[in-house]
Amino acid sequence: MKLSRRELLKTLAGAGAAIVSSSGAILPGSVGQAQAAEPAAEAWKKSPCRFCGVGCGVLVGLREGRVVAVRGDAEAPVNRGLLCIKGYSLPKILYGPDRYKVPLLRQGNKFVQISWSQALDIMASKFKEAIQQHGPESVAAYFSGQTTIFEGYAINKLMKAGIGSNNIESNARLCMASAVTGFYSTFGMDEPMGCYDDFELTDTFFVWGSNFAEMHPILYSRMVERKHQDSNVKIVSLQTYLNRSTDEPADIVAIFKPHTDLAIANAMAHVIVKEGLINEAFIQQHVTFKKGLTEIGYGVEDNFEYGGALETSWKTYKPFADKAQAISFEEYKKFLETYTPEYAEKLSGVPADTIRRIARLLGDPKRKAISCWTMGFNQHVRGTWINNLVYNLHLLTGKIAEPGNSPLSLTGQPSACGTTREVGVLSHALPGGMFVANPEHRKKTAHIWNVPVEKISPRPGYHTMEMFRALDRGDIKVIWINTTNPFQTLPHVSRYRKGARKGGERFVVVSEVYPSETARHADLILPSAMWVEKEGMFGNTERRTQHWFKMVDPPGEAKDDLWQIVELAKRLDLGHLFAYGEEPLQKAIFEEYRQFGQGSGKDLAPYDVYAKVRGGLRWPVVEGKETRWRYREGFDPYVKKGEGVRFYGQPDGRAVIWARPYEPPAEQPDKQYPFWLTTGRVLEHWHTGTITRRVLELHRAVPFAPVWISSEDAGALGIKTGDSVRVQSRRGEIVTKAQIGGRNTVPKGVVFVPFFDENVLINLVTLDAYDPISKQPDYKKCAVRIEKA
Amino acid sequence: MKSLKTIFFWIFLFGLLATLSGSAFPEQVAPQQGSKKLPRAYEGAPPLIPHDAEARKGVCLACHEFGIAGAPIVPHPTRNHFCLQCHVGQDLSVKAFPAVSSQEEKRPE
Repeated sequence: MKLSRRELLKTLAGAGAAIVSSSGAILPGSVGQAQAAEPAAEAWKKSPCRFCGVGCGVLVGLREGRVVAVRGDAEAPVNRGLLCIKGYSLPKILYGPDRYKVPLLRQGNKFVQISWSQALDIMASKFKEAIQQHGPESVAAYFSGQTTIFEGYAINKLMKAGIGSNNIESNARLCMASAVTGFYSTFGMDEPMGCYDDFELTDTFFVWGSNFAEMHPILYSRMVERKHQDSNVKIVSLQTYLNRSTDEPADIVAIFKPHTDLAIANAMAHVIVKEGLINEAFIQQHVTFKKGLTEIGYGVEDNFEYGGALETSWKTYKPFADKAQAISFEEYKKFLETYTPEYAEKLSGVPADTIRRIARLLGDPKRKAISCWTMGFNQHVRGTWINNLVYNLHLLTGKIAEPGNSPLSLTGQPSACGTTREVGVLSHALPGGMFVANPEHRKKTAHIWNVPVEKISPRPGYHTMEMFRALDRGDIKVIWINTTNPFQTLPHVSRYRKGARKGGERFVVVSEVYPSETARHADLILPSAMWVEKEGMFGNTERRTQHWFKMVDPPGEAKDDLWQIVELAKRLDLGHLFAYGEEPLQKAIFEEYRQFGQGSGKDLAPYDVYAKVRGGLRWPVVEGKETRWRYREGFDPYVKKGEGVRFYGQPDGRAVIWARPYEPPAEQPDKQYPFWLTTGRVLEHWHTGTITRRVLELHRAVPFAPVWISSEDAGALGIKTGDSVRVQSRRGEIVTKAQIGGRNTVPKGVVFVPFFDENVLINLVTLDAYDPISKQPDYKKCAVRIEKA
Repeated sequence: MKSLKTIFFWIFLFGLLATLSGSAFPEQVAPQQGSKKLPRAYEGAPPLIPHDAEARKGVCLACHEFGIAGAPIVPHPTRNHFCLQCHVGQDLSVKAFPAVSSQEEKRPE
């Protein structure tokens, strides 16, 4: 079955023309005769897709120095020849008419063209001035989960080893920080133990608060294919509204009130323990139990500290850190007693019997189980906790770290894992899963970077939310924003937009490809190369590292970000950090970076291997072999013979089951603001739409962001689809058209607005509360009122 | 079971078409044979949907499995269950983005 399907896919993907002629043959006068807008490609080269964290392999069709087509790479194990519509739109993202082609400097409300050497000199002098007058903590860099491994490594080294500032963050803080703290607190080590192979090996899927039919379409299609091959397969979809991921073929759909996933997951554990569905032997050998701090707050205040800050200066500010306390299994069972399915029903609205059914499916010893989640869990003021709670379920049942049994935290961006997490492009992190606060880690890093250890500051820099608050307060003078659009994506964005333009010594540098909300707030705009206009490497959700070469030139004077970083370094007299001699810069950087992973469980293959291999490899790559399942003997080279399972990220080799309670969110609907607002994405647009909206087919598919509203609420307010509606919170408001039904159906009391549309700037409305452990903001819940506009 | 499902699809589809023909979206009524094809982005790109796709979600195969009313037949029968991940509808009244290229500062909030 599998072989023949693969063969068919190969045939389909192997020749785009074959699809056309076969469909044309079946039905003359149909799709087969549609005109091709671009001439056929002359050459095809491999690359990962530049959109989501799934990491599909594409073949890039080239002709006369242009990208004219893409195909799904049939040899790529992730997508086996298939792409989603964003992936198929890749050729067009490069050629929007308003690409930035020259550096631009602000003069009043206009931007004027300057040369690269002027731009870099100005940028470097602003950095130098701020560092001299206010210290290295007054400058910051804010990069991205779409930054390549080379670029992420270079900016991290420049900031931490050169400038001596840990104020380096990635927009991945907004999308996966809670996943990371979830991994660290449970397993002592980041990133999933399983991989996509589990999709074909499992028989039970649990999808939590993630519309992955739209956001990770190719993985979703693998799940659906699996379901259609085997009627024994069950899909459970737990969501806060009906969407494509609750459509057929989901078997059990549970719609819960926002934030109550905490109660549902604990109630599932309650049922699993009460009904004896636990794996006693696994728990005895591989698990410990802990509890942490409670009532930990929401981070809405500047310089937020646990229990309230007495001192508002960031120099004395101590970021929140959880305090773990060991408990016994009996104490954990006692903790679970509160979480009866009936209690969870009261909070969540999901019937107790449904919760029991879902828990029994997960606990059924004859079934395998994988759980998938993304932003519903991670963008959550208790994001770390809910990540812990889903791991609890897999640890209680022993359904983890083996084929078909895996909790799989899905990633939003193409290299949130490969760059941000693995290279440590975060204010508290160092490459290879290390931390600035750890003296041993600083020592190892300084050795590889060949700098004095004192150069690396032991103090974590500003995390993203505090970084932009510091810019608003004036504590940060110069910030370089690269490959991301914070003045559209930060929650409560009006404060941070205004902060950027308050003047004084503030200077905002933005590297961009198209005009964006962030570029419009810049003092200096640097035109960047994107995707195959430069060489790159990405790392996807399943620890898979992929490489591509530069294929076409960027437009005009646009330059790749690695070049920009190195040129800035030279002008700051830090060029020695990137003086690698004759070797190509990218290769030299990667080979240096690779030293961080060797022998640590994060081993990467040599550069030349990734340059060659189609579809990449999953780390740890030891003796040329990739690893599909970590922590399991026979699959993971770091688990010794006879150990069976070892969670070697933890000193005692045991994963942690956490007692994490339900606590209310930062803001809930009330009389004045009676609706929940939840925000998110659509299939057709990538994040803020900066690149996808410039593809006509994608723009015409979803031209604007509507507000989804339930038919009951719409009826009560006299609103019809297409009517203008005002969505207002305590922070701001937007006006857009109402949408009742369609791809999403929200329950009464909930409205949903996607964030891609710069003219429907929903982050004026959202709340900048965050998970104190992960520092990741919660975009999924705040209170709003709705009226006809 | 299967035939019941098919019948349900048909009833649903006719209901839908009847509803849509009176809707506020003139671009999005029932497709007419051969008249609505849209050019592909490039050779090998997935065909675009020349009719409303949102309101007909879940019923693609009612026409496209066997080519009812001139509908193109799906050439990839193993991938019949997630059509809208590759094929998207088009509002042809929408102009390219951005309408006016602006690099200037936007209105303050």
